[in-house]
Amino acid sequence: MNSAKFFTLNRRALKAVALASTLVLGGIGLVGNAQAANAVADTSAEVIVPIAIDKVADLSFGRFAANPSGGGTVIISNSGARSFGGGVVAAGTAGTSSAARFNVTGDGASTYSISITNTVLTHTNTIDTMALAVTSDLTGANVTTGTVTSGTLTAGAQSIYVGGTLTVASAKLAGEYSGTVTATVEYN
Amino acid sequence: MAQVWAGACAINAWAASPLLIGSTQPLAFGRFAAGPGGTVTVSPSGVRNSSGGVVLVTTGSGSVAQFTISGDPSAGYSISLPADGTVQLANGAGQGMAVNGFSSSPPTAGQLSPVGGTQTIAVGATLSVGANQPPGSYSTSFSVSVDYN
Repeated sequence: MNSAKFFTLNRRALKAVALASTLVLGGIGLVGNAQAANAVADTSAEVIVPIAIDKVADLSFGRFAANPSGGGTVIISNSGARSFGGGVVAAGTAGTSSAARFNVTGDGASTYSISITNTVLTHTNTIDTMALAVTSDLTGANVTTGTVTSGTLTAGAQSIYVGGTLTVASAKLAGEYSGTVTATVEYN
Repeated sequence: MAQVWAGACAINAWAASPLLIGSTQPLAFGRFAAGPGGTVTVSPSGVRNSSGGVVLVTTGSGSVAQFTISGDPSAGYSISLPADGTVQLANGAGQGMAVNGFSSSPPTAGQLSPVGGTQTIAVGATLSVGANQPPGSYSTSFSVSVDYN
């Protein structure tokens, strides 16, 4: 009799425990939902106008003659003024000499790098050549040395002026020599 | 039964310090020229890189997103970042750029500091830039959620 009663109590106790477990699980679920936290952040990007460069004037050394007894140089300043060194002199109607000018366009007040490479001019016979060492600046000053390697756009524009020194050997074959100066700009 | 309810009370006490998260710095991909297109990535460490033909501009270097988490000291928590294909920057004129590959530091789970119960997480992602993407400002927002482990 006594032992049977004890068993009943035990079963009730087990039931109570099971019920409590359910409640606890429900409690955990609630807590989990309440604890998740969320934040919103802004994200952005700005696409800018691509940088571009256009040639607006060619670099021209005009007409000249090399003294048979010794070569020399023809120099165009960044402003386009021509001068000679060594045994080179202006010839006949001097021809048009000018500095090259490039216009750079892009975004606002961005900074950019500038690379202008030296080159050689080649006779129309495709054999004879003359070496050209370029100079450059951003103002078109009457200078014959130095190169500019970076610029800053103003309202999305800037000009690059290019002069150079052409080395002319003595008794150089007469004729027309030409080449290409390439200016490369890149945002930095 | 009284003992069982005491266990439930202990859980309620644990809930007394809610987990909070706040955005303290936006995720900015900065300024760049699109060119033939590519990607701009801001890593969780805050380093910006580009791929393809995208040219980054130093004026406008971008920033990594930062969030401050607070809650129970030393508590561990999980971090949920936006899934790929769910975040898109827009310029208001119908053009967009997708933001995918969200990653964070710490990566997927963190632990609040033993004193004070806070931690800062940094979130980066990768922006896909189209060829000749129209110039302009693009923006949107994204959400990050955290939950106690």
